[in-house]
Amino acid sequence: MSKNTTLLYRQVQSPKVLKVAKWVIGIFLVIGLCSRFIANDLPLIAKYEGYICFPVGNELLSDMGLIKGKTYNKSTFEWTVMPPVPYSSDQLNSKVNISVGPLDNQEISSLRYRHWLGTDHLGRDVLAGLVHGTTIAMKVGLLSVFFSLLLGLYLGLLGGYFGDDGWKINLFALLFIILIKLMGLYYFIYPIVLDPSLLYYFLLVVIVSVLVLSVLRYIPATTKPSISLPLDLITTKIIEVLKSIPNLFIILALIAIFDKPSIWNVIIIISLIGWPKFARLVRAEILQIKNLEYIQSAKSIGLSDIQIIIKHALPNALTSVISITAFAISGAILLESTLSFLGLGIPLEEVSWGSMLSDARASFSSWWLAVFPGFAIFLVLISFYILGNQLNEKMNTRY
Amino acid sequence: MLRHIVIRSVMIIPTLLIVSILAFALSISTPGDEISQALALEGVSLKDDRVSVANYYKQYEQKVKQLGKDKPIFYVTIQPSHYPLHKEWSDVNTYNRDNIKLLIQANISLESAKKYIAGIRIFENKYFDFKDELSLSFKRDWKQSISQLRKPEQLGPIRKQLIYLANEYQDTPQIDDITELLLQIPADGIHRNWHLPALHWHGLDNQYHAWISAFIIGNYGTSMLDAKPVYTKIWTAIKWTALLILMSLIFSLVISIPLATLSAYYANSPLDRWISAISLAIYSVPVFWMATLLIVYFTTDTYSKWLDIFPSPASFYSESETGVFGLLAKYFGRLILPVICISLKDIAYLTRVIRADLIKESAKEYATTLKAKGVNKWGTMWKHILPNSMISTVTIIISGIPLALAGTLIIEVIFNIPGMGRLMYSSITQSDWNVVYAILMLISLVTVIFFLIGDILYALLNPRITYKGDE
Repeated sequence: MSKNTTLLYRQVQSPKVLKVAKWVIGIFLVIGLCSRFIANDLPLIAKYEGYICFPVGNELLSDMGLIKGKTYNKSTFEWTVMPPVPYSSDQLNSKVNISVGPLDNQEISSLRYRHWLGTDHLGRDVLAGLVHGTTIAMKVGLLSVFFSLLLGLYLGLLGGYFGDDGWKINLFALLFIILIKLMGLYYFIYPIVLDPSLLYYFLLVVIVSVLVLSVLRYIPATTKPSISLPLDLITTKIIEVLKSIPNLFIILALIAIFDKPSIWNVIIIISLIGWPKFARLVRAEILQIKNLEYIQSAKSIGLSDIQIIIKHALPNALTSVISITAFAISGAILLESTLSFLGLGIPLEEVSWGSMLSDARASFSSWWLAVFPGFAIFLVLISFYILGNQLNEKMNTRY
Repeated sequence: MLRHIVIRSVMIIPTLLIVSILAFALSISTPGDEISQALALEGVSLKDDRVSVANYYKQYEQKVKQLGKDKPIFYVTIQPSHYPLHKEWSDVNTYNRDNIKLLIQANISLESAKKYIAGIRIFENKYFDFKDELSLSFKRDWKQSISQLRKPEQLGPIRKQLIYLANEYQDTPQIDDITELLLQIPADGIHRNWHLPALHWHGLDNQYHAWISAFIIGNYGTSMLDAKPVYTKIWTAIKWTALLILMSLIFSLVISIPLATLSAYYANSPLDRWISAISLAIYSVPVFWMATLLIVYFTTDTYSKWLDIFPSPASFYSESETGVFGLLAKYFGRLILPVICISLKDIAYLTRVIRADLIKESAKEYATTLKAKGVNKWGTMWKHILPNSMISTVTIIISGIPLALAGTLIIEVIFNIPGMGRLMYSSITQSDWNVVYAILMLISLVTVIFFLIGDILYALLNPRITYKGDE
C-alpha cells in the first residue's frame, strides 16, 4: 500500500497543498476529539433550577464513569449556551424535518437550529452525524494503527535483528519458555471465556516463570546456547499467511464471530490485520542497520542485544516507519468506513460516515446523504496520502 | 530456475494448511447453533407444536452424529482438566452448553447437569401447556423462576421460591417434580481440580481432519440456509466475479496505457502534472462513495430525465445463462457501471506505475541510441520502450488480481451482482458459515496461486534474475 501510493503521488507536491492537507487533518482531529462539544442536543452552559451547570461536561464525565449522570428536563433551562451544532447524531425528529435537504425549507424556530447539511430519513441531522463519524473514524484510524505499530515493531525487530540463527538459546530453557508461554496463554484466555478467578493463576505463572528463569541463569547446563531459534522464518511465515487472504475477506470472517458489534472489535481486527506492513518495513530496515558500524561497535563493547535494539537500532528504523504510518491511518479509516457501509462491525445505532452513505442508497432523492459523508472520507484520505508522501520524502526512505 | 519454481510451489502447502486451521478455528467459534439450524432446515423445530420436546432432542442427537459433530474438534485439545471432552456433551446445544459450564463450575457432575438441564427444558415448554385456569401472576412467576433455574448461583433462592409456589398451588404436579429435581442437584457435588490444564490427543478421527480431507477432494458441505451444495453456490458466483475482474482489467488497461504513455512522453509538463493530480484524486475516492454517487445520479430520474442512463441495480439477475460469455451478452448494459467503479482506482494506479516504468526504461542506452539515430520519438515509445516496460506491469497485474477481489466485494454488494463477494457478504449476514469459510479457503487458494504465477512470470520475463541454488 505505502509503496504504491507513494509511487503514485511523488509528482503531486507543492507546499501549498501540503499546508492545506495538514490543516484538514488538524481540523478533523480536533473535531474528533471534541465532537461532544461541537454537536450535542444538550447545552454547553445552562442555568438550571437556579444554578449554572455544564450539561455536556457532566455527560462526558458520567460516560467516563467519574461521576453519576444527571438527567435534565430540557424545558426548564432558564438560559442556555448551545454547541455550534445544536443536535446529537442520534437525535430523532419524529414528525418534522424528515429527509430535508440543506437548501429546502425547514421547519425550525430560528436560523440557529437550521439543519445546514440536511437530515436523513429518521430526521437525524447530517452535520451532527458527520461530527460523530469523525470521532469514530479518528478513533479507529489512530488506535488500530497504534496497536498494529506496536505489534509490527516487536515482530519486525525480533525477526530482523536476530534473523534465523541470531538467537541462540539453550534447548531446556527454550522448552521451559514455551511451556510457560503456553501456560500463560491458557491462564490468560480461559479466564476470559470461563471464569475470571483463573486470572490470578496467570499472575502466578508470570511470577513463577520469572523466579525460575532467574535461577536458571546460575546453572551452567541451562545457559549454554545449544540451538538457534528461526525467529525471522516464523515472522515471515505469519506475514505470508496473512497476505494470502485478501484483507477485506479475512476481516469479514473475523467480524462474523463476534456476537455483539462494537467499535473495539473493529479496532482489534484492523490492528491484527494491519501489522505486517510495519513488520516488513522494520525488518528490512533492521537488516540493513545491524550491519552498520555503530551497531557492531556497540556489540563489541558488550552491550546486550536488548539495549542495542531499543537504544540504537530502533530509533534509526523509526524514521521510515513514521512515514508509512500516515498511509496506514488512511487505510484503517477507509476499512472502517467500508465496514460500516456494509453494516458490519460498528453497532447499527452508531452514526458513522459509512453508515450514512449506506443510508443514501436507500433514498435516492436525498443527494446530501451521498455527497457530504463521502466527501469527508475523501478529504481525510487524500490529506493523509499527501502528508504521508511528504514525510516519505523528508525521511528519504527507499520506498 | 526450475528448482526455484518447485520450491515456491511446495512452500504454498504449509501456508494453505495454516490458513485452513485458521478458517476452521473461526468456523467453530461462530455464534449460533449449527445443529438446530440444520434441523430447522428440515422443518424440525421446538416452536412447532407437532414436535414433542423429547422427540426433538432425540432428533438433535441423531443430527449431531450424522454431521459428525460428536467427534473431537482437533487433533489435540487443551482445556481445564474438569471440563468435559467434546464428545461427552456434543448432544447439548450451544445455548444449554453455557448453562452446563456454569453448573460444572458449581461442582455438579456432567451427568446430573445434563439431566438437570434436560429436565428444565421440559418444564420451560410446560409453560405453553398451561391453560387459562392458572392466574397470570403464577404464569409470570413460573416463567421467571424457570429461566433463572439455569444459573447455579440462583439455585438457593429459586428453590425457596419454588417450594413456596408448590405450597401455593398444590394441584400442579410439575412444581413437585422440579423441586425434586432441584433437591437432587447439589448432592453429587464433587470437588474438582479445575485450575490445571489437561492435554488430550484425539488422533485422526476429528472434525478438522474430516473437514480438510473433504475439502481437498472437493466436498465443501451443504449450505445451512437452503441445503444446496456449497460447491454449486460458489461455482455460480465465481463466474460473475471472474467476468467483473476480466472486464475491469481490460477496461483499465485500455485507458491507462495510452494515458501513461502520454504522461511519460510529456514528462514533467503541465499535462503530466494534471494527469498525476487527477489520478491522486481518483485514488483517494472510496470505491463505495463513487458507486453510491453513480447510482444516485445515473440510475434514476430523480434529478433529471436525461441522467437516467443506466439500469437500476435493484433488479435481479436470472441464473439461466451458463457460460461467462452468455452472461456478458445478456447483462452487458448493467455491468457497465460496476466495471467503471472497479477500474477507476486501477486506472489511477496503473497509469502511475506504467509511467514510472516508461521513464525508467527510456533512460536506458538503447532508447538513447534510437533517439540519436533519429528514429521517430513516438515510434520509439510505442514500439520499443512500452513493450519492454510491460514486464513489471504484467507481474503487478497478475499479483493484483486477488487484491481486486476485495474491491469487487463492495461493488457486488452495492450493485446486487450475485458474485463471490456478495455471496460471502450475504452468507455472513445470514449466518451461513459453511459457505463463508469455504469461500475464505478458496479465496486464499486463488490468492496464493496468483502470487506464485506472478512470481514465476517475473522470473521468466527477467532472465537476469538468479536464485539461490542456480549457478
